[in-house]
This record gives sequence, C-alpha cells and structure tokens, in this order.
Amino acid sequence: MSIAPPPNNEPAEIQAKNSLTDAPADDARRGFELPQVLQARSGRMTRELLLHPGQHGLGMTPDAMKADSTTTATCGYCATGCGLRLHVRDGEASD
Amino acid sequence: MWTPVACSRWRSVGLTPETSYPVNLGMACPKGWEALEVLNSEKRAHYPLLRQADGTQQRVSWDTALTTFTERFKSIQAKHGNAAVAFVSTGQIVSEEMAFLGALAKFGMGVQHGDGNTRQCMATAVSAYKESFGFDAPPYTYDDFEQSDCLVFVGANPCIGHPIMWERVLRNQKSPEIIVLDPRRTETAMASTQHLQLNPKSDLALLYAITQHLIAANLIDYDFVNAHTEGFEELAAHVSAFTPEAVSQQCGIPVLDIRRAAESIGRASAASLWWTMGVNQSYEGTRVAQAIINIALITGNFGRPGTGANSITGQCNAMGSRLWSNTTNLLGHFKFESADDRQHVAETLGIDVDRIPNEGSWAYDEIVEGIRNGEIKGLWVIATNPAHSWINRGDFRELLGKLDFLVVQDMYDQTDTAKHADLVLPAAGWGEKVGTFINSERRYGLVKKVRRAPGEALADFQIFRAIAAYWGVGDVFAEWTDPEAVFRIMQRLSRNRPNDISGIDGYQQLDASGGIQWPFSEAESQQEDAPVQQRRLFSDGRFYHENGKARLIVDQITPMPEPPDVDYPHLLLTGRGTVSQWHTQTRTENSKVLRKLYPQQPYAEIHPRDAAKLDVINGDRIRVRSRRGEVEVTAMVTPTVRSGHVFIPMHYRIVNELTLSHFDPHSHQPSYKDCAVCLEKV
Repeated sequence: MSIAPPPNNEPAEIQAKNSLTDAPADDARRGFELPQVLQARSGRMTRELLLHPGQHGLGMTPDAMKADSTTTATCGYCATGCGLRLHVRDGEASD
Repeated sequence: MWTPVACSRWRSVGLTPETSYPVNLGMACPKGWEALEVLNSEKRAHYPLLRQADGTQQRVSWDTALTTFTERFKSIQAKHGNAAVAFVSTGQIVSEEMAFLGALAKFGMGVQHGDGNTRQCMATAVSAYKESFGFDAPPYTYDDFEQSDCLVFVGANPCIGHPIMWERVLRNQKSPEIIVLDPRRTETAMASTQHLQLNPKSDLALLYAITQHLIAANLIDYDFVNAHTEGFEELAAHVSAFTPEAVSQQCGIPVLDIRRAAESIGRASAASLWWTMGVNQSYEGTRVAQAIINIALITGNFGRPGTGANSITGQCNAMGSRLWSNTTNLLGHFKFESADDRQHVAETLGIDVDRIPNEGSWAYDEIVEGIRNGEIKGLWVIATNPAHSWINRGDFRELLGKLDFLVVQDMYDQTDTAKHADLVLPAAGWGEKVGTFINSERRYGLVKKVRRAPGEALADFQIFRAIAAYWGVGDVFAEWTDPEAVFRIMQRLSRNRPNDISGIDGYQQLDASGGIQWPFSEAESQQEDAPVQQRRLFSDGRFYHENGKARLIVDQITPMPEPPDVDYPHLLLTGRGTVSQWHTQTRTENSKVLRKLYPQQPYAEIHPRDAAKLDVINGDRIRVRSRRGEVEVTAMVTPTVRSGHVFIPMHYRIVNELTLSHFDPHSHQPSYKDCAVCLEKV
C-alpha cells in the first residue's frame, strides 16, 4: 500500500519557489540554501560506484579504483611520515 | 611491488593508509587520504614561464628557461659578486634533491647564501639540540608515545597538527598523565589530564619553576646527572629564584598546579616531553626548548622506552633539510668553518676543496635583509611560498620587487610567490618522483613515482641536473645521475657520524623494512638480521659532545618586544587551524574533500567577553589591526582562547600582514605568535 503525500494547497508560484529542482530565476539572496551536495548535476553515476572485491587487501572498491598492484610510499605533508599504500594500475600513463 | 619508479605505464588510482607501516599502523589524516587528488589541480605548473617586456608571464621552452636562468644569474654574479645570488628552499623536497640543490648552488654556482623554510619551523629545535647534545638529534621513536607514563606537550597540539601521532598517544595502555602547556584550550589540552593554560611567553619561567620544584623536592636522578650531564650546579642556582610562588602570577597558573605538574613528571617511571611550534616559533624558543631538555636530563628520562625531550618536526622532510641542505651546515651536518671537514667532504664527493666555501650561509632573515639593502640581487625559490608565509609579509612582497631576477621552482605556478617570479620552473610533486624523506623519529622513508607530472614539469632532481649542465659544471656532478646514486653519496658522507646510514642496503631495504631510522651503521647492519623498527638514542647515556655529556643550559628571561598596550590591547596568536589545512594551502586548497573540512574565509577566534565588549556575535565581521597592517576576518566566538587573546590560523594569507618581524637570536627563527593588535567591529 502506498501512502499518498498530503495535498499541497500552496499557490503555484510559491510551490515553484519551494521546488528543489527548479532554480529560482532571480539572484535574490535566500535565507536558507540547501547544500549543493543534495543535488549533483555532474559526477559519477551510481553504477560506476558499485563495489567489487578489490584484491591486494583493498576490501571492496568501485571499478574505477580497481588496482593491479600496490606499493607503499611515505606521505608528503607533515613529518609524521605515514606510509601510504598506493593502488596502481597497469595502463598507458594518462593525464 | 618494490620498484620506486613504477614503470611509465603504471598509474596510481587510489590510496589507503598502509597497515604494516610502523609509523601510522593503518591510519592517515585527511591530507594523506587526499594526497593524490591535489596533483590533479588546474593550478599545476605545466610549462616554464618567463616574464616578458609587457609584464606577463609567457610559456617558453626548457632550453630558453635554462639558458635564461644561467645567463641572468651569471650576469648578476659578474656585476655584483657571486654572493649576490641566493636561494631559499624547503622542507618538502626529498633528501637527494636537497643535497643536489645545496651542492649545485654552493659547489657548482658559487652561491654563498641559501636557507630553507625549515628556518620557520625547526631551526629552534636544531639550535637547542646542537648546543645541548652536540648534534641535532631528536632521540625518540613513536613507540615512546605508547610507553610513557607521563607525556608533557609544550606549545604542541598534536590532535590537530600531528593527528596520527596523537592516535599513537591514544594507544597508550598505561593511563598516562598528559600535561599540556598552551595559552589556548586546544583539542589536545581538552584531552589532557592537566592543562596549564599559561600566559603567552611565560613558558620559560614556568619550566624553570617546574625545574626548581624538581630540585627542591629531590626528584632528581643524580646518578644520571653526574654521569651524563654538565652544568647542574649552574642550573640549580639559576632556577632557585623561580619558585612556583614567584612565577605563579606572571604565568597565570596557580602554585599548586605548577607543583602538581612537577610531581607528575618527577615521579613518573617514564616521562617524555614533546614540543612543536609554540616553542620553536618564539623569540626565546631555543632557551625554552633547552629548559624542556634540562627537565628530561635531570630526571634521567633518556634512552628508555617512553622517555625523551622530543621535538616533533613540522614538514615531511625538515630533517632532510637539516642534514642535507648544505646551508647552515656543510653537507651531511659538517662545518663549513672546519678545514678538516671541508677536505673530508671534498674527498668524499671527489671535488676540488676550493669549491667549498669556508663559512656557512646567512639565515633566512639575513637573506631578506640582504635583499633590502641591495646585497642580494637574484633569488631562487624552491618549493616554498614566502610571499604568504614570511613574517610581516607586506614588507616582504615589496622586497621581491627589488630583485633583479626571481626564479620560482614549484609544482604550482599560482602561488603568491610564483606570481612575482621572472621565471617559473615547473616541478613534479610528491608521487611523481623518487627519493627519501626523514621523519620526526629519524626514519628514512621512500617516496615513489606513481604518476606522470603534468605537461613538461620535471622532478626537481632533473631540473638540478639540467641546470648543472647549462651552468657548465656537469662534470662536477657526474656521479649524481639519479636519486639512489645520490643516496649512496649521502651514505658515504654519513659514515662514522651520529647520523650514520652506511648500513642501509639501498632503497630496496628501506622499502622492505618500513623505513629505517638513523643511525644504522654497517656494523649494526651486520648485527641485526633486519633493522629493528623502533630505535631510540642515548640508551648508553653518551651524548655527542667530546666528553660524552649533555649540557644543561639556562638563560635570562626576555620580555615580549610588543606587549599589548592601550592602543593595541589584544595579543595575536597564530597556528594551525584544522587537520585539513597545510601551511599556505598551496596543495590542500586543491582538494574538494579538504575544502569542505575548514572555513573558506579567514577567521579569528575571540573570547565571549571580548566579543560582548565589541558587541560582536559569532559570524560578525571584525577588523584586526596591528602596527603593520589591518585585515578583516569573521569572528569565531569561543572560550578556547583567553580574554585578551586573538587566534588566527596561519593558512590564510592575511595573517602575516599583522605579525611582527622578530627572531630567536640563536636560531633566527621568526616569532609568529606574539604581537599586539586591536579589534573593531566592522
């Protein structure tokens, strides 16, 4: 059984203003702005974030992060000198 | 997989903290997790840039860049003398590059003066250790965080500044006493068992009072003092006037709290004392550090697990700079002033001894003054951003305009300093090149190439090689072919020295061992099947002075040069803001994740009472004015600062508009944490 949403009796222009998907036409500063992260217009699709066993002790990783091998290097910020395990993939050097 | 250059076809796709590495045991802070992301920034330097007649920086070829570098610096040297060209480097490049830069500049190009941004972070600890121990030698290993019964943090906020070290403290199973000396109620202070929220720059008096109590209460390890130290009688006489009663008001700490802290230290079976920038960035920091060292010495807290007077290092390779930059000390921590040392280094490198200058460099502040009075005409800046970070930066930026030729070599060409440059040399960053860093506990660790640098950017090592060739001194550096070849040169130079690494069997052994702490001599390598992973110094009580004893050093207290007054009634403190920000933010501002974790706009922490007086609430804009400049920031009203104090994080470029140029006389380190300001509501 589905639960119907309560009827929205607000006038259309106010409904439009409150809409989460339509940006307001004017630049007027709103008192409250939703964080952008709720509505990403670009970025990875959910299917690309599916997790698969990562091997090399990496737990579950999405395909884009799948590694062929790992190697350890010292971190380059502070002098704690943490060891970071770098996940590397065989492929043409890009970027 | 061992190879440091992961073959040109390999490419990193992600990272996780290494669980088997003896430093972090599978943990990393946000900066580490985002270490790859910041390499992708559009602010990366892709090509050499040369300033044109119309004032714009335009892309040029490496050949043009290196020819211009050579011609301009040589012409300055011909006109004004070799010393008119200087360099300012960093704690961020690998040791092999530090060594190459220092050797190339001084033995190849005839440069007299060079210093690093480590002057801004570690110089004080270096001065203190050298005078007290006879060598710059932090004695500890991170296991000491877990083995100590009483940890004292002076001017250190590891929760924020060194979060993985703090994680090691949290692993301590001994329910340790944690004593924090800090004018702010920092995250570390909140987690302490005793927070001595002392007045700024009253640390030396407070430490002398703790010392006085230790002596008066007979909490001294006289066996250790007699066998391994000198100067105890002078120390005892000096601190006798610093009773807790005498300093209580000056420090703002009740007498009983001082005595309780002293008792905790004196009665602990293993006490350790740790310090960072609150001590190092102070005009009397060397003496404060030595007061900390004195306490560890007289209580016999050396050479055993959980002990030590331990300077926590700032940058990833500040220690590499201290040992290998060839600036203050001759390459490998020798003395320029010693003919024997010069001869030894020349023979070890296979170069003519006349190439080695017979005196050390000017310190950073002296180089800056050299620019001001026209003695320095050419400056080469490598992997640092002084136009943001140098104390009283407004003045410094004007000075950059006085230079005839400014070269900036960096992985980003949008830094404040790079924008002033006549020539920008694009460099590879971490993850795009090979070499070693030396961490806080003296551990050599490997840096590997897992990415290609963007555009035509080159590893600093390759840039130095190219400059050597263009300068016409390629033959002097014939052996300096690749980082590991330079590592072998460093090993030769270190033989039979306190920092001996002659026992390390190349990069491969470093990689297999989870890094190796110095010293690791050939003799040690024959005794140990595999290098022991936690190594601390002075277990035999022998220090590096000729008589084997550590020196107890004391001094008079110096007043703050610019205390608050009627016109400027507040005191400005600076420091790290969050775990997600690093120094001038050249790298950390390039990660979306990190950017979400700190305020984008500069802010000032002020006490609620001060806020009420100004009629300011959280989020209001306030103006902070010093005798040097004024800035507008957002007020963050919080009782973690005391009334009368203002705290502004160092990551925002505005903060050094306000700071006062003054320095520790022994270390030449700038004192960033004490200048008078006034506040107004905007």
